[in-house]
Amino acid sequence: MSLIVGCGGLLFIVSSFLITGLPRPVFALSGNVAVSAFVRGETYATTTFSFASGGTHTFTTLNSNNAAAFTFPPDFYGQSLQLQANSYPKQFFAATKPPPSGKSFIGKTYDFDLFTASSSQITAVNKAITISFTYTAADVSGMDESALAAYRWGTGDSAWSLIPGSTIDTANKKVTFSTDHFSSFSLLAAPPAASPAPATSPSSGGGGGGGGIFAPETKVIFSGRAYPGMQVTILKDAQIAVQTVADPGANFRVAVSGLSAGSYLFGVYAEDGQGRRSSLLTFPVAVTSGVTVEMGSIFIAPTIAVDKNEVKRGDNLVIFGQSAPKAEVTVAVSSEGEFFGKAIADAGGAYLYNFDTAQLEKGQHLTKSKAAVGGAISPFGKTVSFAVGAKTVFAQLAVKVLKGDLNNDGRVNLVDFSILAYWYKRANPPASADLNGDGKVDLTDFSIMAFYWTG
Amino acid sequence: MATEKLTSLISALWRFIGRGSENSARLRQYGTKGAQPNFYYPVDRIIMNSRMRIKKCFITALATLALLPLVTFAAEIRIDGKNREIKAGEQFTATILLNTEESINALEGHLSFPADVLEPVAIQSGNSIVSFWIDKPKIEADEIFFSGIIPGGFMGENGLILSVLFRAKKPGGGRIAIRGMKVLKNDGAGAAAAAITSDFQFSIAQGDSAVVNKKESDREPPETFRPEVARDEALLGGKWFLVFATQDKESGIDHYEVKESRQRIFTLFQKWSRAESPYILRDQELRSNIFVKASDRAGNKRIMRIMPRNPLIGYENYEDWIIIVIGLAIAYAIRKFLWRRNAK
Repeated sequence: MSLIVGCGGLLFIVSSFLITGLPRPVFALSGNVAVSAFVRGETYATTTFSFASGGTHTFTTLNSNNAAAFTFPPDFYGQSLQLQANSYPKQFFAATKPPPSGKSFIGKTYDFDLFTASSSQITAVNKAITISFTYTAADVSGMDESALAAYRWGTGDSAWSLIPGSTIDTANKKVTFSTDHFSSFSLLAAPPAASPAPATSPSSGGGGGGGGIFAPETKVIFSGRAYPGMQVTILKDAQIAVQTVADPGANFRVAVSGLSAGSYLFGVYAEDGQGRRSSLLTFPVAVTSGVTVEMGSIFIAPTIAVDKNEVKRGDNLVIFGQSAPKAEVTVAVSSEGEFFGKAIADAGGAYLYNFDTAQLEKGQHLTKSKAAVGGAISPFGKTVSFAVGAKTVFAQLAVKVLKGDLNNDGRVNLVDFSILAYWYKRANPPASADLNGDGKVDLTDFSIMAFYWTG
Repeated sequence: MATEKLTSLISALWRFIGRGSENSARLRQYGTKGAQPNFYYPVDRIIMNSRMRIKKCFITALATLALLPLVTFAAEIRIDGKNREIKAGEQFTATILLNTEESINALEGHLSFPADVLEPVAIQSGNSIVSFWIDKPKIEADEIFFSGIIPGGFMGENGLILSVLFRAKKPGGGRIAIRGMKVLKNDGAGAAAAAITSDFQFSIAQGDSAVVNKKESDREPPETFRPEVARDEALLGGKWFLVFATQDKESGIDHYEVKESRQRIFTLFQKWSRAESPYILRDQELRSNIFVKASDRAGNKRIMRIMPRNPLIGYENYEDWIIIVIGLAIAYAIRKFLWRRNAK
């Protein structure tokens, strides 16, 4: 993704040199100076950021309607780095890095590459860098602007990945996100969704006006409620098929296409603003060729956390999490009896419930929550435990390392399964692989991993 | 399901009491409804007077009732075969199905079959609820072992675990049985669930050995998938490795192949290598394009590509130099041609 991007590029540069004598642009770390040049019809620009002070820079090499603005925090890396930015027309990646099914590129697409003074390419920095892309009304014409989101295609990736936590300012036509990895970036959106009635129907196939014959598409559409502005992940046979972002009303709708006739086990989960994941809902679906299956009215259970691991009997325990905006959240506390309380989520879906532990005996207790809004009721979500005792111990609110995440990449997926499978029935497995601490890796450890699965 | 189990148990106890005088047989058989008898009690161990026996059974029944709350549910694993009467030379499919009222996320067991009358032709798992196999189903003598996981869990009826296509070798009979079945709950702790299994009984009649079994055509390639490159200090000598898995919903996955290449065009001429996940990468510098090809049993293929993490810089790629040389040669030839034409 450097300046020389392929054989075609090389031929162009070589022939340019032979015919016109144009030199290849050369860049050096000489301060915060932006340079622009045109290479193969793409816009190219570069600037240098000081590692000590960070800084901001906006690339507007074409026009301000498709700008890319960067904010580098201080100490983002151990040395100053040069940022090389390429912007391309949106069809540039169509063949090599195609958009996910049903989505289209919006505005420009980009390659952002970081280089040290010795021209070594850096793919990750120590602190997240904030990037904003601007787009035009024409760019999102015919698209669902509210579901517009930033995506990244890293080196080694085979698909665009949704960048979690991106925010959209539709008034100023700007999408802002943070990343600590550098690679290809784009904005992606899909056309507005139709009404999400749960149904199974043959695909209409073909569109009006063309007169051509199209094979009906085989797909499954998932729709429902999650958490406002948060990422929703759909798993197909335990591997990530597609990710989307719920709208401000927490509604999501996403299609998984390119399916064969057969039985699939789909999974759906969402992540809240604090990185807590919902429980994984699974749906066995039998798919028929040429038929669209709608899995509607999915209501992902609220996330849940407590502010104390141990609470002094009589003190309040704060139970909180995220659900749909204005949802009525029922919090259940299990003890010898069961206690129920209600809280109303705010406009951002956040809820908080103060539970008086005077009514509980000393010992270990469990809590879980479910939500209701607009006549729909979610199932109960994950269960978290806390103790009632003689003293109060506050919980670490930072997101814990996920159980089963053997390579510590924040996901529990095929990589972790492969590592665990390696230690299956072998002597002296490492503690990280022995998930139940019984000194061996057996089916129970796999079951624990499957429970925490993220894809 | 627990109620059915209890009813079945009481029924067995009732039969046990009723058969007090039938002690002439050396062995006595007891089974549950719809299943082949699979418990054998030596007669000399059950010779006792009727009162003692009734008392003992009553106590057992009471104990079972007392323990009922602990047996909250059981997963049922059964074998479904559409035809129990087969002709020699014919093929039939035995399908292992899971019925469960509580979410199950891991299972293991083995299928035993009479190898003298049945020959396993193929194992099909493309439509399985099992997403990843710990022990890929494989045939060993007269048994097929399997173990796998269902991330997120499965709850429902008739969840397909796997199907086995058998060929009836000769007239006879027997049963296909599930043994050593273990199912674990999707509860984050891997708690064991009670497993009820039932066998599949069949008989093979004399038939036409020239029976032609219809082959279903599969034109769909395997499902798309996302191979991943990873490394773990404690695994495979800390080397970078590749993991991959996919399914084929019709004929099933036959094998995988991998190709690594730092070049782009010359990749076409490079040979594929058969591979299994995890696969240790040859290029530990991660400068190669990695291609993973999944082939199904019908010969359909799906190729996925992973871009290099540390791609070659233009001048490092000899392929680019070859293109430059060819470009220069063409430019030189054109120039010479034009010079000659102008000279004339």
